Amino acid sequence: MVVEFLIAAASEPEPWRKKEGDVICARPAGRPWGKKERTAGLIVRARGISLEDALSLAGPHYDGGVVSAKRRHAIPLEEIRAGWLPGMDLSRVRDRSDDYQPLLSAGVVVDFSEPVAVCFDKRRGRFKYEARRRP
Amino acid sequence: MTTSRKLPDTYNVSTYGDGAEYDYTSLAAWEADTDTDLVAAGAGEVLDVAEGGYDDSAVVAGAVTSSTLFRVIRAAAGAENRCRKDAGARFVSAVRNLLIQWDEAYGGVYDLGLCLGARNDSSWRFLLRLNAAYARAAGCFAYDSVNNGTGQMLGIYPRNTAGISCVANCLAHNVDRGFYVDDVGAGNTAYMYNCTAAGCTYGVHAYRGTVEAKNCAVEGNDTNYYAAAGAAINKTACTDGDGVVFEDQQSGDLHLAEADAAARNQGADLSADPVFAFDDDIDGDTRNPAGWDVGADEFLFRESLADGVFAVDAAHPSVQAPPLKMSFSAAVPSAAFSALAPSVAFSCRE
Repeated sequence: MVVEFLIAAASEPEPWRKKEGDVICARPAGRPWGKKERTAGLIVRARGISLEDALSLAGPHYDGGVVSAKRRHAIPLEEIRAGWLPGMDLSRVRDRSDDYQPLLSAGVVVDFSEPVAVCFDKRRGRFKYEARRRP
Repeated sequence: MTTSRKLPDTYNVSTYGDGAEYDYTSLAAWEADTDTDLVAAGAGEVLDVAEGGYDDSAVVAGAVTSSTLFRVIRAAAGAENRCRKDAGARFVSAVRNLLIQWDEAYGGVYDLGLCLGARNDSSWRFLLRLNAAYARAAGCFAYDSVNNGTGQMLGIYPRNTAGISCVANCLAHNVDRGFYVDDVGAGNTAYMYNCTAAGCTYGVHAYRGTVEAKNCAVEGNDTNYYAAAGAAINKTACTDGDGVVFEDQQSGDLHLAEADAAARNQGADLSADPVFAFDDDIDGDTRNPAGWDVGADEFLFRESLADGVFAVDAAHPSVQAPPLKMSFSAAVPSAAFSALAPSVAFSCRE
């Protein structure tokens, strides 16, 4: 299964709103993205993860049946750049007027089965793996 | 007409669908983009969902809203669900645990189909949860969502803790608990107006809190109404297994049939209701001021005819030929047309 994540490209100041790197949504790869989505964030194609697990990374965190965090997981842009695409221009990623999707253009597929830091659990404050991927 | 699909005073519209021509293909992306201070911006946000079935979900929360500036997810014009399982704008998923959860004050979800399919496990899932004050749903259809294990599917689920949730002109068919109310805060009430539940395990289930049900048609469920200890369901002009006749209850077409006598003209007029005034129905038709029907549908005689000159007689009591629509401003019993002899010709043009 190849999935795609939409990752927030910029942070909102209020604590409960999206932060850079937040996983906004996940879905099977291959469907087109909308006009405003292509400039709203970074599209990350990934393998080594089931659709159900990908959806859970995009879901909220509940405490006692109440949403305590709308977005619990993040894929930090710096990790993506350092580990998979060193040439990625973060200023262009953050520019909402720029239809810039460097990972798709370069054919990069992030592999979640690699035991390296990819997805950050904001509630626990840690990556699943500590090792950094550096090509 | 006073619509049950309340909109912000001013708003921006974004489009949603399956294709690069739409603004969004993901509910969560729209939600994240419009999670802003709408009051400071001076405009609400409306998402128009195009015709189609979408495996998608979102938790709507965090925006600064007011009674006049809020967010809405609705079917695009012409894509209203209208109690259809295979057409209209609808969110359908076999893997997700929720479809839409509304966690911010005010807002609306209108004219969408909602389905989570069949599962067999111990999880509780919900299709549409209104988890904040003054969150509203109108014209939504929860269907075919059952858990064959120990878990439950909750259809349309007001759960606010600090104010009023109002659900109007909504339907549930073949859902574990078609309408479910929980945690309505002390002194608060969930309002269910002109809703229909049929073929569910529980039609209306109040677990905690008070439900004020008016004009609801609750028919053919294993249990039509259930209020747990400490909860209450107050019913005004509601049916409770009274033999309402739907177009096709088995398949889920819960429009009233012409043969019905238990729901037609049996409802209370809510056009001046102090909590939530409206006078439309699931199809967007104006309710009959001479006698509201119970349930989401206001029965209308319907007949599709080509444009042109034709007779309106006992065989053609009403005319609808999109984009042309003819209706009568007051109730006209079908028998009245029998008096029109030989016939009356209407020339209908756009």
